[in-house]
Amino acid sequence: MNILSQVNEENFDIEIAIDPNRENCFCATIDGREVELKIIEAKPSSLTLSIDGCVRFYEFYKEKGRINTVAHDNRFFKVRLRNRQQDQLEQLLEEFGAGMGGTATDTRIMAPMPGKILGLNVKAGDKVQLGQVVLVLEAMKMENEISSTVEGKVTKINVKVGDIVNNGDIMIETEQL
Amino acid sequence: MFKRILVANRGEIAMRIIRTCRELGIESVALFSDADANAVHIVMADFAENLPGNSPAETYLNIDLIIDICKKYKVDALHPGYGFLAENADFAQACADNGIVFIGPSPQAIRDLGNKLKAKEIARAAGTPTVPGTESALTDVKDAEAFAKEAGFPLMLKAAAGGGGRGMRIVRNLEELPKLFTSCQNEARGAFGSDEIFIERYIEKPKHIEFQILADEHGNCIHLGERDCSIQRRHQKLIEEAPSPALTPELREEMGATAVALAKAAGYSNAGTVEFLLDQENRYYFMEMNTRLQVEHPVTEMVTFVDLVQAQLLIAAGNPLHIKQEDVQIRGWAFEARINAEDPLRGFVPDMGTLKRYLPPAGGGIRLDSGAYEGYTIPSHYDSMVGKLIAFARTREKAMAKMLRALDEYVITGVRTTIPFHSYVFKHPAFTSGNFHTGFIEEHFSDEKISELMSGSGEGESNEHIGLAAALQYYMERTALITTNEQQDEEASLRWKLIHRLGSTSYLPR
Repeated sequence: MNILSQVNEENFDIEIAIDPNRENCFCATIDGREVELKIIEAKPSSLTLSIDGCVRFYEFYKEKGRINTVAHDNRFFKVRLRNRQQDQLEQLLEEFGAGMGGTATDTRIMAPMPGKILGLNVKAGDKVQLGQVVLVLEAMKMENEISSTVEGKVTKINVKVGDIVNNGDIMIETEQL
Repeated sequence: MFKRILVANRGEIAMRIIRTCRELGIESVALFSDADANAVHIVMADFAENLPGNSPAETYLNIDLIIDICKKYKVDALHPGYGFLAENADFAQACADNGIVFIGPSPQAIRDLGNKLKAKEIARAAGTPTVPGTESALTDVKDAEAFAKEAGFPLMLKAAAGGGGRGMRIVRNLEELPKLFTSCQNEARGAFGSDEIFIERYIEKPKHIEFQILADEHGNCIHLGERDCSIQRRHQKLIEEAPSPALTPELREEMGATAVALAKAAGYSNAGTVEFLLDQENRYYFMEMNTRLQVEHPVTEMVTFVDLVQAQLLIAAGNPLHIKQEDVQIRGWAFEARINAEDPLRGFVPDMGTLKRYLPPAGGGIRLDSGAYEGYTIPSHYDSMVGKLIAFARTREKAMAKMLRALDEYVITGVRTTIPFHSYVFKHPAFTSGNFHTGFIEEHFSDEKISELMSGSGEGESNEHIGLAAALQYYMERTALITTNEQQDEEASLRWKLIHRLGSTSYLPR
């Protein structure tokens, strides 16, 4: 299988196949160079893998069924993977779909971290600019000024002063003008 | 000596205190909120009692309930650890009123030193240099402006009752003063229930140097040298070391004597910390005194070979100090790195969750004070600390090498941690030179730099290996060599599939 593997914006052209002669081994090349891949241990979302004799642990995280992050050495690497042959149709469809309208931009302001609302600077009907401080959130023992991630008119405020919010809670809803 | 004490805290510091109790043959009683039912400190203690609920107010700050539990278990004394009730004078008084020895200073000393204005007053009376500032609380921004016109900028607004970096504002000019004055007052009122604030000169690029002191109830007081806690982010300490690379033996002796004089003037007993700012001309100013065991106390323990918790227990039981000033020798060098579950990619916000894989470092010279284990879920109700990694060796260079080795060894997945951040700091020339100040993080770590660091780019071999590992995982999923169904028997089915496909019976080691 010919795979395009993108790590932190760096592209690698990888060819992988099972090695029929050696247990747990794979025939692989990266950018045309041969590498020896051997699985030491496999679990559904992690691999202990030997790459040219260097044995390391890798853990995989997914979003919408696709691997998007590899955890390794306490670091989190952003990855994108593509099967060059089989995914051509899928990719075409995806590009076509994107061209037909794409996804609507998010008009909601969400809590970036868990915390307590200390102050609200806007009310329903207000116009907000990108980056404008809309509320003050107490978290990590600090007052954090939360800036608007959107530009538009406030339609609804789902929180009040004193509320505890969790990461990702929708605090303010807006509409585009 | 006490027969049984209650530890009014949680996590690693509760474990730290219980360890010394066990060594001394003292029984311990631990406390746990509902969210801490999976914590290690409760199975380490001889007894543990549940504090129903999760919020700090209903649990570890619940004075009445904690006093009731003390009575139920007939404890002789109580150790408050750090944070929570450790510097609450009313709680110390409540313990005394119920015949329980509070392992710490007197309620009066806590009250006096807990107020930054009062503490500065005590310091001035003891002849300790203090940062020039207003000597009483400000109610009107006009008084702050009057001081500003006299002293110039930059200045710092501080909550008198503040601590841990809260309620502080740097003021750079007259225009921004009113706005910052109000926000500082608001934060002080919200966080400490007192809007008493004051203004003082802001010392630029200082080092944060603190002295550990021990005082008994018989008028004896000694210091155990200093800790350098200059590596901070938003006034939160991240790395501490003992001794400080900035102090000469003469300066150490002078500052230590000053710290002792101040503690004596405050009528202080038990373990405490006198914090100073050291400016670029090596002039020092008293900042505040912390009337508790500090988070970073292990670095002092490593270089002095003194068990500070043991010293606290001995003092609280009424014994005279078991060591004299001349017995205190600083040997070797120690670092502490605070490993927090935080996402540096998103401004260090807490990243609470379950530790999927957890491999703690060990080996000579390494101490890890932590309550974490594989499968442990960090509760979101408290702080984000996973553990304190401490490295000790004969010299600063060797201790840094040990710390770097241990950071590399420490593997945590499931949550993002500050480990890679520490690895970077311990390699940074400004840090290794010892010539750094409290602005180190702001100066050397732009958001972009941190982001780059945490995503692992710029690391030679990594990207290629990550690319290969991800491609292999993708390949195996696509060719159904493995299944990723989140089922209970997922491992079994995975093993079977791999064995089946590859025609091997020795596919995976058990």
